[in-house]
Amino acid sequence: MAERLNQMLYILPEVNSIPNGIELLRVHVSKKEISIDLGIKEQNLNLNHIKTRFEKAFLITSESRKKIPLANFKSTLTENEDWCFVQVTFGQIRQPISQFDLILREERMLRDQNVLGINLEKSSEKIFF
Amino acid sequence: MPLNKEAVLRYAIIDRCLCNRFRLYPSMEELKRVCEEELGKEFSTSTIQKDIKAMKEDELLGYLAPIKFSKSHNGYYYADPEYSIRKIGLNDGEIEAIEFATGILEQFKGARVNEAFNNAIDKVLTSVTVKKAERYNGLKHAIQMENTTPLKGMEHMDKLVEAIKEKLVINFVHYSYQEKRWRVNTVHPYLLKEHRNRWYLIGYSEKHKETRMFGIDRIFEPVFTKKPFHESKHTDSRLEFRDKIGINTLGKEKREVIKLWVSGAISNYIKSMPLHQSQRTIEQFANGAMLIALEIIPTFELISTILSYGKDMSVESPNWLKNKLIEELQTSLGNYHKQKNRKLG
Repeated sequence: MAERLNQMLYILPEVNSIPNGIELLRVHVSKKEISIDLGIKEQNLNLNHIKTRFEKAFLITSESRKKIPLANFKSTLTENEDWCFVQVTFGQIRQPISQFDLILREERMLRDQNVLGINLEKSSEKIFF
Repeated sequence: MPLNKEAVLRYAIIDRCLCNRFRLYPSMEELKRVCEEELGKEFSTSTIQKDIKAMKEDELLGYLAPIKFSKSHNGYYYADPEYSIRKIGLNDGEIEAIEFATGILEQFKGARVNEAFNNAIDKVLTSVTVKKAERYNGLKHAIQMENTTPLKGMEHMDKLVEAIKEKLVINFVHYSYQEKRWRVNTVHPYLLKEHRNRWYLIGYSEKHKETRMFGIDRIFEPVFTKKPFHESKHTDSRLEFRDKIGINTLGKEKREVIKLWVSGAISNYIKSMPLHQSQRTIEQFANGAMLIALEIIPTFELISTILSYGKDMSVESPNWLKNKLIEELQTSLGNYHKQKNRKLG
């Protein structure tokens, strides 16, 4: 199971809650790393604002309940500045993950709209890569 | 006059021996032996001596190599340790010819092709730096080319080419301008096509269950998957575009004969630069105007092209296309009326 999970791409996994303007697209699970691809659509997007929103993001997995910090953040803003592609990567994954919460901003500001509860087992499609 | 190929090969071997830092001061016997080993035939000492003399003195050859003989080491060496004939490579005439082409090559650099091509162009551009500055300044005043701005998504070009070449199914995130939403697509790629400085990936989309096009400026994070490749029904997807102007069809995938009236003001331009390879003149009128026929699959780009010629071009047949153009022009006219009313209001 662990081996299989290390090479998977989950397309549109089931999300329990999703903040406004954010669209969950894919989750890559490679060797000890998990990357989440998001689409963001807002009027007058600002890269700095998006960065602030994500810079303290972390994951809590259902399996370990441990806090996994952000390892890498990548974003591309379009010419129209009303949509943006974001990829957030988390490292130090030591065991297979089936469910996790992606928390944006600091813990003390934790609110429902800042949490993406993602269930990989209920992904619409799983692809090996 | 072209250089003797074998002599050029010997010059290259001698040069390599003289540049070899691990075996300094090669003797005449050594140079002769290496040439014989590499080219598989015997050479006389005088041939190698003549080669060295030519490399040193022949102005037509253009190397003017600083080859010296060291009595103490009983061997040859370059007086300038940085010298190599490979760094020269081109004679004056060749440099001049390439200088002319560098402007064109520079247009292709960066935005339009892949990393390997950029590196190759960089090498050519570096090779002509000798005497380039003063000559190129002159050329700059004589040539003006269309500028291309770097496009987004070009960083994926190598990966997409590899996917097509190796028949690898790819998965990527794409933003659809029409749907105004993000989509994750699994695509079996067939072709990369450039149209008006934009690049498109054409392939079988699993989501749409048909061949689709994706603007590569809106492709994000392509990933190779291990899915089996879905072969195109068409033997060569390039053929699909042979019968089109542009890429976006109007829902009809069959070729049609399109008859166009062209005014006398532009008929010579259209003759000298046909709209499509199928273009033929049906009738030439005394006032210079003409009727032409194209045998193509109608596209949005065909409509834009006809509209771009304004009053100087119109559709004669088929009727559906003529009506579409009339509709487009009426909408456009309506927009001007609305604008006028807005100002009055």
